[in-house]
Amino acid sequence: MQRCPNCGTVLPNNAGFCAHCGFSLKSAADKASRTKSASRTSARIGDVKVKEPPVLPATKKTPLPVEPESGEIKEQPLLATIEETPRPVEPESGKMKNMPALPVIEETPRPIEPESGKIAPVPTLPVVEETPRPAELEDIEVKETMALSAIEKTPPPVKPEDIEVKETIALPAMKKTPRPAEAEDIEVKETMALSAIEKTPPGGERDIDSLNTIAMPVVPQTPGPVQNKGRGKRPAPSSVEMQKTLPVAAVEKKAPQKGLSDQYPRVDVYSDGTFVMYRGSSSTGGKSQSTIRRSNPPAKGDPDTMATLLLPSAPGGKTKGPIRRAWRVISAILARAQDPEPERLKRPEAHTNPVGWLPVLALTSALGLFTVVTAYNAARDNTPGAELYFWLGIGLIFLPATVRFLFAGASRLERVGLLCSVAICLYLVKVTLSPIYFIQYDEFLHWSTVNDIVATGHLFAQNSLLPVSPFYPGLEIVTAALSNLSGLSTFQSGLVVVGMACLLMVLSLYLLSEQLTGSARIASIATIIYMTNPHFLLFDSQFAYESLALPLATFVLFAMTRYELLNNNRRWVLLAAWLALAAMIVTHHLTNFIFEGLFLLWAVIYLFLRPLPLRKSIVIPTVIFGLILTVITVTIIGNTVISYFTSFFGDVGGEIAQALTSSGASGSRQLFSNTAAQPTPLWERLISLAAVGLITASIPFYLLCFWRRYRRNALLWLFCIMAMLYPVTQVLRLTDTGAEAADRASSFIFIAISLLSAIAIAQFFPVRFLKWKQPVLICCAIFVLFMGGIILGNGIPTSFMPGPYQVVADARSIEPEGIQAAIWAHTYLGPDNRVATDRDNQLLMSAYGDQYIVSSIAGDPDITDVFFSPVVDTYEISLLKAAHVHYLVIDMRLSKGLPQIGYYFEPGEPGAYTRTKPIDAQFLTKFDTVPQINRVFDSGDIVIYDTGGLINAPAQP
Amino acid sequence: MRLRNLDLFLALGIAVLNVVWAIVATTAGLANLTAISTILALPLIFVLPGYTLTEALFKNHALEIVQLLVFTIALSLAVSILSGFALNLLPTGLHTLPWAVWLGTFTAIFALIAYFRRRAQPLDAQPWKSPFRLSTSLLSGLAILVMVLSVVYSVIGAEQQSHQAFTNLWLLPTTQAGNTCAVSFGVQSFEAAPVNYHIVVTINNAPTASWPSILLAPKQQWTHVEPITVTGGTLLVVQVQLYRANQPQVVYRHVDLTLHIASKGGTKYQCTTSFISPPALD
Repeated sequence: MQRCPNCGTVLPNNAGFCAHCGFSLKSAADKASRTKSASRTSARIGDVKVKEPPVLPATKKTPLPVEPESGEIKEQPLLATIEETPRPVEPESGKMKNMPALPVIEETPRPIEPESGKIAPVPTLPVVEETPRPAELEDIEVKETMALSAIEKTPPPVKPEDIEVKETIALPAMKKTPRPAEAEDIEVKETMALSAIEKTPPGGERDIDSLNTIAMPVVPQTPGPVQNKGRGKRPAPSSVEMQKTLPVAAVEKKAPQKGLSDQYPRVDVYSDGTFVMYRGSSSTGGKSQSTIRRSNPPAKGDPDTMATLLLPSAPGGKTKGPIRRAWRVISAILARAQDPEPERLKRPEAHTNPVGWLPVLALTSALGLFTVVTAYNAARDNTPGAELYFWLGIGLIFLPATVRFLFAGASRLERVGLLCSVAICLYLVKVTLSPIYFIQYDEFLHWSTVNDIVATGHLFAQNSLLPVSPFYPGLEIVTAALSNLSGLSTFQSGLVVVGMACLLMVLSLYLLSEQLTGSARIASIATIIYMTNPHFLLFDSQFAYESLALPLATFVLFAMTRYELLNNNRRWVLLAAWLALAAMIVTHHLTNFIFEGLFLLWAVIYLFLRPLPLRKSIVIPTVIFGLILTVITVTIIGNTVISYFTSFFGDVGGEIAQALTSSGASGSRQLFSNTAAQPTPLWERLISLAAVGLITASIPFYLLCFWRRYRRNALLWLFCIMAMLYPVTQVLRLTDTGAEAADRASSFIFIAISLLSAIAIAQFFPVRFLKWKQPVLICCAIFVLFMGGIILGNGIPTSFMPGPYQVVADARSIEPEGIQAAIWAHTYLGPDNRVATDRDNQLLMSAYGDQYIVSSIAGDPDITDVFFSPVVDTYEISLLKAAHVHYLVIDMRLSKGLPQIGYYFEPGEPGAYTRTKPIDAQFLTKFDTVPQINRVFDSGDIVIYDTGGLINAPAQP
Repeated sequence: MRLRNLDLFLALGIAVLNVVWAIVATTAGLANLTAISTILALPLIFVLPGYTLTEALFKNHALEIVQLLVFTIALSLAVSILSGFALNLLPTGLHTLPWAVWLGTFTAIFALIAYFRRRAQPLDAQPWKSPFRLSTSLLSGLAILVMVLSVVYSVIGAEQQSHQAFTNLWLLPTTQAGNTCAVSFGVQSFEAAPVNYHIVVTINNAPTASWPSILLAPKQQWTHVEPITVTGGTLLVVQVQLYRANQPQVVYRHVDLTLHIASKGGTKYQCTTSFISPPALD
């Protein structure tokens, strides 16, 4: 493994370029070697040791060691480079030189307080502070810095303006001109960073190089507080947050050829925002540190002095007050957005136990699942308080893992294990909702297709409720295969298949995020945020084709991203990606179309950015391959996908047009209101609004982080465009069909939003600043997203949790009486009779009864007028005849309540979504009065009428 | 050498076992032993094709463990899906034995390719070491146990959920030997407790048969075929009414059938519900 010198991404050894920024590693290596050779011509302060043979040649790439257990890259000790490099050889004797001892690295046992027996705090390092710092300490700092520069970060060629700016902070000038004012402090800050950050043109390769040079990863021990305290001029800061050393490039330029001289200034930055600049002692000894200048305390609420150090001064020079404070906040935001190493720790943590908290947190998640099941069982018994148990269980599953992901201490193995644990528990939340049979609407549609495949042994049988389903039989094929080979039922086989797909989704998304960011932490945060999308908990866990196609598509994205990073094995990754792409194309039309569109857009962005030569990219060949397969799939005779989509988008467009043209709110859907369902409590409305608002408000920050750090990555460009679509999709919630479209889109858009959110979290909350408040804040925000997503996508918990029968409520309408009626129909009437019935009995009659359902979506005439007419008249008979309805299945319970879905039979029925009164019972019993209609089945609530005598009768002479 | 390819031999062995089991189960009627079938089928569908294909494609352990897992699952699913289209073209179709043979063959081919590609690779001497200690293993096992118990608890809860009790009553035309008219009707109880029923059959509003006491336990079914004596006319209205013994005055369920009688010569009649002229609605 190696790191990209441009953005720090972890890359394979054989990578020729960076997938993030397209930075060419070969050119970087050449550049580094050129810089190294040039550096030998002049003496520098920092590289007294560095110029020695121990410095690794720039072309030599040292692979980072990987822990065998976790597969994670080991934390690199500061002196790792020095230890691994060959020791210098004395030219006279040819023997190796003795290397100086490294006292700072050795761990000194901390003193124990005699009274308490506790380890005494070591806030200060008096020995280091009072005595001249040993030469090794300075050497270590510089060695590490220079080693990194040589291997990974090549300093850019120094420009004239850089030299000019750095002269501003030259020591003599500072000494001669004391500048106490705050505004002048900012000037100093500007001089330190302005030329490097702001004066370079954005988007250039040099720009990113400069940023890397400015950010110094060295975090030495800070002796500042003691010194300040001793002088008594100002109360010492409570704790030292971090220390900023000058950029190597700056030191090099101003060093007057004196080696590690005392003119090397050092800046200590404190948590309260002050900083003190010292004249540093050197290896020559003799001089202790002395303060050059000290800043005044910053204004209260200063977000990050460290950040402001890197930014230009406030507008208006000496302007004070709110404008200045606002500018400082903006400056801090801008600085953090471009922090090249937000994951860097103050002190690298060694993962002694790669499993970490995984077993404990997995147990917590399991207990959360048990709590949710308890809530379900309470809801089945109509016990109050079930909703509270539900949210408690969801929180137990979700929150501990999220907290753990935010901290840097978790190993990669632990993160992956926790993600799997949370994903499995959330999937089981859906499974335990109905563990003995399918209850979701879409599940029945695909179950029918599986039944046909198992029964006939062949594909493409007719599915009256979802005619397009047999043409995309990927999910059904795998389920039928498992059912055939194992003997499990379709229900059990379907649960296993979707469970595997769920696992694939989570792991693919994790790897994709990790590939793009190079960080296991960001990847785990991104994946947990993806789980907050409105469709993750129930919709994408149900037995439906999107549940399998989406993981396959995510895997294709991951494989394509991986391909871009490789030099070897590329064609095999290509083959793997294309295999999965082909499987995805024949699994789900919508996922296919969306991802084909995304690939196409990716290719266009790629053409503009050109991070690689076109022939080396996988994007365009994949787009062409996918388009060819898509055209073949769509043009299969009988595939109704085009009409399926035109009718859907026609409905959405019509509703939007109606909402726009109608006066007032009459044409639009009223949020959080359902004529049948119980009203959404206020707090749950607020939560869901907060979830949408939080994401929408965060989008500018996503874009900022992207622009500052990842704008050379074509895929992240694509993700940004997807994220910007989010507010647009939320507008669709103002229409009935559009609300479904918005929910459906969230599964795809959240792939982008989750990753960009995780990047933003990592940038704005760097791990080195994380205390307990920030993780709590972030966790609360993510949990609000999760709760809001559940409410937006599925309604309030009481509406989807188990419970008594409800009228046309899909899951709550699937109960034994309807199931037994359908089984009876299959047993006594035989399969494939043309049946007309309400929405939920359609499902049962199709799946359990194996009947052909007369419906508009299958191209049959709309017969809903038959049900809403008070009598059976010529018109009704003509409708029945036109649709060749052989059996009518009437559920008398329809007259006892309003439909929870919004309609009884079909979306286009009279009074759909606007009904305020249930259908009249007389409308349902009118068939008893027609002699030619036989009442052949009666279970109390469900009556089956045989209309064969009516429809097959010869016309009246 | 043997240890290096242990995974491939294991994959091959499971694939062969699947084929053998598919033959035995279909011929010897052991298809109801779902536990064995499931243990064999799960790896054949979700692991083996993808794993062996990944091992065949990527040399020198190019993928670390999580990537290997993802490639394995994704490619297994992809191979299974695309295999379905291939099997659909064959006359055998998508049935048990063709599935086992097809996926087993693919696994064997991929394993063979992986075997030959591995020969040039150095032996990976570093043994795998589990990162789980005893305590963490126990905790992880406890977590899995809680998950399983949760599912079992939910199954119990779902099965014991109280639903509205009901009873099915049906009536259908049928034919008897000798082409005489008949109707079949039946009752199935889904009540919470055994119920005593009373059934009355009328033809053209005249009672023709009665069963004063039919005791049915929950889920128990009772059926009867009643021959119909045709006395004349072309229409017969058959009605079946179901009473609960404890409420003899209230019709609990009722069904009816209008039969069209067509003479087939002599005493033979055909009774159908079709080809009946619609009522004079105008």
